[in-house]
Amino acid sequence: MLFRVLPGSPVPLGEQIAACVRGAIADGTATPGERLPSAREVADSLGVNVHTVLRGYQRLRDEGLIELRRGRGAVITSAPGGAGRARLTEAVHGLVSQARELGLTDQEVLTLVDNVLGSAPVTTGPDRDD
Amino acid sequence: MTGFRRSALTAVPFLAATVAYAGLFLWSYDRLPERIATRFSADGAADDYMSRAAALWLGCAVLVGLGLLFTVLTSAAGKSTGARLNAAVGVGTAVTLGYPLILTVLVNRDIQDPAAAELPLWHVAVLLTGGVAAGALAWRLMGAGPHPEPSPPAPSLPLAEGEAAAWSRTVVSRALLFPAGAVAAVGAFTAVSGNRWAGLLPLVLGLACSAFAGVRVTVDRRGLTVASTVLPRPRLALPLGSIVDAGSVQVSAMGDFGGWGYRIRPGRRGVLLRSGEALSVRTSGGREYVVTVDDSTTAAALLNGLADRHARKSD
Repeated sequence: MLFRVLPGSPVPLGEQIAACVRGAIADGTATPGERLPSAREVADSLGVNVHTVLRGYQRLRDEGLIELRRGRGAVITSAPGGAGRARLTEAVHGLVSQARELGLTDQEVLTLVDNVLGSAPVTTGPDRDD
Repeated sequence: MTGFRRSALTAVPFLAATVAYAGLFLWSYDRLPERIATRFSADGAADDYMSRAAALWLGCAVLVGLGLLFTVLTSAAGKSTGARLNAAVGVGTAVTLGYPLILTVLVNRDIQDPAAAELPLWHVAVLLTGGVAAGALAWRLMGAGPHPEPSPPAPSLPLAEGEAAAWSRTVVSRALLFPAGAVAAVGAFTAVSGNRWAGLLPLVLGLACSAFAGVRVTVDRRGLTVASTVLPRPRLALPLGSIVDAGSVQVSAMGDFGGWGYRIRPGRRGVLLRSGEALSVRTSGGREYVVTVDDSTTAAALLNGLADRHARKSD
């Protein structure tokens, strides 16, 4: 697991840390069941606050990409479709940053997504599983 | 030296010792007492006895068993440096075991009471010297194998000014974890159900081994750190300032290092939990450190990037 953060960047450090893990899950570098270093270890390695790392890890847990267990630390989820989920979340982040660049309001973005969701047929199939 | 000749060099001393021991034993079987002296105290007097047949079988079993073990290990080590050490230790062991076994038969011959058998202590010096000499001879005969080719260093990962970067990964050896866990479990069971003290040693040993069956490899602003996943120390730490370059290599634990765990070889040290992909780091002290871990190319690239930046900063 490779972590790269730029303290001067406008993107919060916790989000940068989450993006590293998300990217690794998306491209298959991090495999299901792999144990991430503990928040303290990452904080020591990068020279950032341990709460910053925990914020990033909690974000990943909320996205369903990792499991946080007391005593066992952070583990990449072994639920099926983890890599696909990570790629989708990355795409959403891309969508939002593009919308921000264009100066769209949050409501406009939501309406846009809502319209596409409304017109797209619902499919459930083996595609989810990857 | 070919693989067959290397294995033969290891097998022949054991074979010779077995043939000599069994031959001498059978030839003088009728001249030996019913129970023969098999252990001797420091003053040379016999202090433990065994029946003739049991002594013969046990001696042959030890020689043949160890002979097979060392021959298999030598042939498994192939062309690498591990084979040379294996063969040398094997040959030395054959001499160190064969000599006292044969001597035991000789001192028991033509006596009525096995308690009369004597084996002076100076024979220990002879067998140890003989074992070391035979091992050294085998070491010379084997000759140095081809030197491992230095691996090309991995490309350096470019880092932005002020960027913080870290790489971390665990490597767990199931092959080490399961036996260590089993030993600990046996120890715990013995300690609880039977002899408290007899169980303590396997329990402690098993737990200590299983603590090092999983290690975390970290590359960050402090350099390379390899530590057990459960214990903070002992750990292997190489600061950035001491690192020349890093690369990814393929290693064979048995072949290149003669086994698993923390291994020391001339100019080369390694933490080996398996064979295969490994991170290789060259230090300014001229040493190479090898750690078996997946995704070692990324680790090597980051280590090179960090070391480059560290060198630029300190200039």
